Amino acid sequence: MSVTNAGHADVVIVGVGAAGAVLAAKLARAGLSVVALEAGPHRDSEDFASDELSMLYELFWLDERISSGKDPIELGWPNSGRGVGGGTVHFVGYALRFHEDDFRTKTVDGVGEDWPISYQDLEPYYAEVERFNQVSGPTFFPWGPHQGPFPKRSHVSSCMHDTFRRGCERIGARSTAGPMFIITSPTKDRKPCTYRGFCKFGCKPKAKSSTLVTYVPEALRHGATIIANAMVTRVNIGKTGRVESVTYVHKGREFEQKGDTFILSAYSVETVRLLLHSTSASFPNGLANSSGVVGKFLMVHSADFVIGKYDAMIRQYRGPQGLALTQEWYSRKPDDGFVRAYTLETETLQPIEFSKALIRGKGLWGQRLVDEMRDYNHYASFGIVGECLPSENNTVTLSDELDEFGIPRAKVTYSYLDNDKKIIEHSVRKCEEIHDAAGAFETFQYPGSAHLLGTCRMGDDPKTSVVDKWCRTHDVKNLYVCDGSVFTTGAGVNPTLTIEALAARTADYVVETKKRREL
Amino acid sequence: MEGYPDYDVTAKQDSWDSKTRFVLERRIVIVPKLLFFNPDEARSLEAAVARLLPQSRPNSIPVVPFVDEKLARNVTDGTRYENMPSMCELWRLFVSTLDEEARVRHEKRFDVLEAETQDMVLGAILKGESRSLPWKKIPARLAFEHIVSTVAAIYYAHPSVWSEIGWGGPKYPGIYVRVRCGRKDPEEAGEVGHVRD
Repeated sequence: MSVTNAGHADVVIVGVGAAGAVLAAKLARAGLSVVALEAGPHRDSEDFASDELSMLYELFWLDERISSGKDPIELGWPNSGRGVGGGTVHFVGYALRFHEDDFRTKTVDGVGEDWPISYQDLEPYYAEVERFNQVSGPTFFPWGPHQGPFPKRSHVSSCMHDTFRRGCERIGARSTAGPMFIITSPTKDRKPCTYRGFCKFGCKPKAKSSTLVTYVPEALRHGATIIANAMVTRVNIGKTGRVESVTYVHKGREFEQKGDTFILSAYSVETVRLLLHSTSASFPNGLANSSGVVGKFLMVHSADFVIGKYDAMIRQYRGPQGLALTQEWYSRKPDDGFVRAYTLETETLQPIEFSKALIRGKGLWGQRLVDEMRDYNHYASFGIVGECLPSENNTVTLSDELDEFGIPRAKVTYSYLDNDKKIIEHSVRKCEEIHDAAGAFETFQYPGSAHLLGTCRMGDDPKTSVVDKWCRTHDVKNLYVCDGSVFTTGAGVNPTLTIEALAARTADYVVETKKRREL
Repeated sequence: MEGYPDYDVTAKQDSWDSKTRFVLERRIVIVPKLLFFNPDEARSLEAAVARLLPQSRPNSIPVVPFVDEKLARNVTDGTRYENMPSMCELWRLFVSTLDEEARVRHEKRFDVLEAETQDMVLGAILKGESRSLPWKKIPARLAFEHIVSTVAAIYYAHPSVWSEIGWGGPKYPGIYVRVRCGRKDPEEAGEVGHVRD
């Protein structure tokens, strides 16, 4: 196949999700020429159907990956997006900052690893992305370093979120409406939230601040080129040890995109697959992998649901899918029998997801499944976001099997550590207590995990980490990795706000280095 | 908790957006032709699906043709667990195990067994207690959950079933207003036997 020259750009970004879109917008705004390549389509929010089934097969990265380990994780639905906006098109939208200690778990709790940056380094960028996304939040947020204010007021709470908060109150735990990536007042281009509970299946009114409706339009306004349906298959290294180009497939043809600076923002599986697959004489073990840790230290969040059944009608289909939360047990200490953090959050389940919860959580099938589904409106779903510690044994590697592009399929190996299991046990028990106090007459647990982090971890030491504190790879000076894979540890919160903040910070750094070179 | 006999989610379809109407009309009207399963396999799977999700309506909602379509197009779910065959192989294996199990235990095809006996066969397959050797080699519960979840996803995507469970249905450009506990908008389902919402 002949390769078409696609030209040259100051910055080439691979993946237009949470991080890639922020980078494209800020770099283009600074006057750089930006080409951003996205494997999936560029959708219009109006094209989303208000239909769970078709959206389940539309918005997610569903190419097969092989999942192994003692606790093999589900890779398609809860985790990765495909298309401009990436995972933010289907995330629930909790906009939570890390706490200060989350950046130094080794120093504070003797586990995991310290980040090479602190909360203070990221603080201005948290504020920046909250502002740009018009995050809506409570008047006062009770935990962590940032108590507010947030750019917009909180959402109206629907019954399921109120039920959670009522339960919290009765057991003496503080709760709040969470800061959300969902606007509470419409703008010229974006309508108000209709409270239809479709955050995870494509927000038609554009009330949810996916990068598809925030940073992507900003990037285009400033002249960035976003090429959709462009699957990058290889990162090409030149004789000088710098990245020269990436190869991508678009409409069945192969293209070569050259550039000065390259940023991989394809998330913790695809970024790794690309690096490990892009071997060369100078990088026989994969690009930027002299440390051997590319693909290691994969982290998820435990994301079990605890679902309670009530006499009253909950109608969990209404409202934003997530809204109420508590971090009352966020910082655990050795006296608790385990360390680190978790958040409890509400997350509504629409009928198909709820049927899966009954099948996997309660083992139901047949008439009992049909009967319980008839009581759908009487159930409320609470979830955990539990920190999982990094381990060298939790990995993304290449399998022997090739995909349609001739790239080896990813093999993802995951097993919970002891501390992870204790966090699950404790947080699930707290969810049960909240349900009981709120009036549930029975509960069940639906195990699961979410988020993929850590496979190109950030650190000062090139022997034990892949990128430096600016997300630049230690090995290749003009190659950055900027997405969830750079997380040194995962904290007990949803990662998107931190991914966007890191991207905003990396963008500033890239602009600064370019300016310096010009001087 | 006695259901919603008077509730029909499609009564509101004029208020749904055009894309959603298009998707749902297609789903109701166009039943895919079988491309993946042969008629014998389809007959066995039909019988199994009738037990996995029993329907008590006069005209059953078609499920197997949509499973067939997913397999014929190899629309995967993103995860293949180690020790698990590919999605397409798994479904063929499930169907052949149904008949093999029925033959070994009862000397009959699966689809001609009594409902109760079919349930026993399905229960054995779920627990990995089947006599079929290939099925014994895979994680039985995980495989069974995949089968049931796939069937349920298709079933609970049908508007008639939305009415049955009292789901609010597609809501756009409309908006839910009375969302607090104990309240509902007039067009939402009211449950028989429930005095207060």
